Amino acid sequence: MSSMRILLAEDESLVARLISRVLDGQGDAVDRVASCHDAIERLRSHSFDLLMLDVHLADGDGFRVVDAMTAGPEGNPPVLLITGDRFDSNDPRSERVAGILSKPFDVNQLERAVGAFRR
Amino acid sequence: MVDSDDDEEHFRREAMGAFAHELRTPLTSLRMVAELARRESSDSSLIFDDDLAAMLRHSIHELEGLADDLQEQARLERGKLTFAGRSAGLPAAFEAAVAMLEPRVTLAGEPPEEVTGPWDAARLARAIGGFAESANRIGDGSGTVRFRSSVQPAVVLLEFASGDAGGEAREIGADAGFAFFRARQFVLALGGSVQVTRSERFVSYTVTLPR
Repeated sequence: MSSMRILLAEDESLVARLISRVLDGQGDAVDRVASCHDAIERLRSHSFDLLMLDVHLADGDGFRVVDAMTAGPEGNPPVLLITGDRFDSNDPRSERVAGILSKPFDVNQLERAVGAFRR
Repeated sequence: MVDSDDDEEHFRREAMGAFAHELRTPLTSLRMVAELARRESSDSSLIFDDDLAAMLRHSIHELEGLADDLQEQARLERGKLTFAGRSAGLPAAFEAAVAMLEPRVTLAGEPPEEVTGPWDAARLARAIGGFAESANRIGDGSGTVRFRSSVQPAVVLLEFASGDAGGEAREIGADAGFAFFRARQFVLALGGSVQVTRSERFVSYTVTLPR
């Protein structure tokens, strides 16, 4: 199983720790941030294979990060959205991300969602 | 501009949405902890290492807190919780709120002048923190919330603002966070009011507290 460099933008520290624990166990390198601002800065300075992005971060709507990625240079990682909201297929925002992981998810669902991005 | 005294049903719906949203986080943690504990065992029983055990306790504590919040919300709405005979000083509540908010959110502005009112001290501090945290969340997210207060003969006005006004007006929604709705219900139970002004990346809460 190929390992990935993952940027995890999640401001709920316990959920972030658990996600990191699972993905670390699979050999992935997980970089954790808790705000849109830090996520945008990290994406500018580092290269990642996947962005896991909480839709509600402490400093605002996670889609601000998607906006910044869209406006920036190419080569951005795909986005796996983490959300407690209910996105239906008609929500235009769902077209802006490569995958959606809905809370409450379990370890198997997390592994499947991330696994879809492994080459 | 939305007058928060209008459309109480809207606020009730959004409060339920905010609560449901926040419930999903500890539920996620519990599901993951349970699976990780099971995986570490060879016979499908649960084995919690110290880290997992601590996470389990934290998640349960979070759920208990949410349950308490919801119950208090219901009691406040039904008038089953009153604050008759209580007295609290506003500056002390403000300082307690500032301490709770650090380092995530800073209240920028002069601390309120010395004034005492028929308030519950702990709940007032929590409400101030809730308005500030919510304002940062749906305002500009900068971590700094502008604060002003004004003592008048019969009321105290508290104002929390984040971001630059302008743009299309928006209603308050579940994204304000359950802390906002909890704080608002407390203010209403005191006989006060909360006015909300919101646009794209701006929000202002004007809280009127009877004294």
